[in-house]
Amino acid sequence: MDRELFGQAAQQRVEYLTLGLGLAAGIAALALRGWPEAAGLVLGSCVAWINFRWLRRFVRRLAGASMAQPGDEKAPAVPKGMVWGMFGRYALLGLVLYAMLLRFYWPALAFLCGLFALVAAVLLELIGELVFWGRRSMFT
Amino acid sequence: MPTGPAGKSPVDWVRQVALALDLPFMMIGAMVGGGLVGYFLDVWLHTAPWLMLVFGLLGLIGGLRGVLQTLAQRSGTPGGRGGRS
Repeated sequence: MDRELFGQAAQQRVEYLTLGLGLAAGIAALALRGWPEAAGLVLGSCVAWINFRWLRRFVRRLAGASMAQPGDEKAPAVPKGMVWGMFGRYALLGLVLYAMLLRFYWPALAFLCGLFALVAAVLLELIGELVFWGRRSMFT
Repeated sequence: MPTGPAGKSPVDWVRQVALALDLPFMMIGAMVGGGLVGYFLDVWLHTAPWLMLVFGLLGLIGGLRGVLQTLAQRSGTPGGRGGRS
């Protein structure tokens, strides 16, 4: 099985949708609840976006690394540099979030809700693909 | 067998969508969850910010391990011991 997370174009759309939905939710929260909630939502969706982007790249590079070792019956080792790079990125992200939590006020609940922008984006993409796929297979 | 979007079989396609939903939450969820547990322990034990940092780091390590194990189980390659589940 290849490790691509569905199609490349679909992945791009999920990225844009995550940011778009987070921004839309932020604008709605700004109108209804005020700026702290809006900032938390937008920040959460940005973290969800960057997380998806990093994971996508990680999975693709991991698949590339495993394909570079053909004919090996035993499972090849995961390149250590790749794992440490991933670890470093997330540690840095955690520290930045922690520093922002100390320095600025932003509601944690709104931030957690913002993380779910990725789920909404994937579901929206799923529905879009199914509708488009169903329509396409109906006529072919 | 009919193919789904992106020319994949429907089963593969659904499996990959599930993976796209699963992996990001495994990574961020473990880190945020660990940080939250550490935060509440810090409030209780007055040790801020150390437990939050330690638990956040443990969550990050656990999340990364979980991602690698999930990928290994799904493909039977890097880091995998048991192959496809």
